[in-house]
Amino acid sequence: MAAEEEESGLLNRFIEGLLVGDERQAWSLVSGSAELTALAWLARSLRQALRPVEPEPAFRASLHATLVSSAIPARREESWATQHRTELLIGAALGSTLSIAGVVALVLRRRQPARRAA
Amino acid sequence: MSWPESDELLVELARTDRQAFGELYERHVKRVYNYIYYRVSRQQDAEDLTARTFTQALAHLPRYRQQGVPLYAWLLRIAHNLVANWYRDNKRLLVPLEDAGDLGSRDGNPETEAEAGEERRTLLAAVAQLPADRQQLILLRFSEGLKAAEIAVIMGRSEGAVKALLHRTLEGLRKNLSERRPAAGKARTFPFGGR
Repeated sequence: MAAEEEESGLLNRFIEGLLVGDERQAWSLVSGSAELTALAWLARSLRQALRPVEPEPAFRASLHATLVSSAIPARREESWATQHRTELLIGAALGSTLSIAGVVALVLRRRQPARRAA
Repeated sequence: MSWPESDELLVELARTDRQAFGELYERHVKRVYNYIYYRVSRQQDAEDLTARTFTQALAHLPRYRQQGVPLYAWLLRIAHNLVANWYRDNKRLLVPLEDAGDLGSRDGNPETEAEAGEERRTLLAAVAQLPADRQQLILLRFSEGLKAAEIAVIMGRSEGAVKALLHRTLEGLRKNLSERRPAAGKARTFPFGGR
């Protein structure tokens, strides 16, 4: 388990080096293990295969214009009730509990004189 | 106009100022588009889903404060959910990556380029066979270049769990690739390319 964690950590540091362009240093991290070296090669291939893709400038500019125009209404700040939903729920639950307790207490109190009278 | 460097401050401005939202968009559109592109593989669909991501982000901006995560993580979560819905609505299979645009080697040597292109297709096809969460992990790490801690926020896992999952995913991929290309596996120590 500890060895696996250590390998995952080394592999992660290798990938970090790969991403910042410090390959030489990165390879030294994994050179001690054939298995890790193989995974490092695969990581390198993935980085090359998944090179970032950028949106077309025309699309990017058009979407920018749409977003900053008034065509899409921004949702207004949420209402007080929405922002304090949790507090309201707790309050409602407490209120309900107290009401039920009150009713139960009332019923019990009414029953007691009846029992005494019996 | 000069905008604050912090996304958090910019979000506050963007609640009332559309130009500020435009600045947020400019800061993150490449990352969002790139993520979506590699999930759906077609430019038109990637553009449509990118537009939907930012439209939804604009509409739900007041909620962002409650999330407590970096803005890019929030945007990528929106994108991830929209892509998932897109697959569900279109009844598509999660195998788009192998169709992703040809971004192979460009060294001018047709033979090398063809070989690099073939390797890339094989690799992306193998990635496309992974479960959605592992595809997401591979994209966030290798294409978006995010750190394990940042991915942990997006995926709702611990940093250690992300590192372990990446390790297991690479092991699985390597096994898959060596099964696909047994001859190449024997000829080389490693599945792809040289140093």
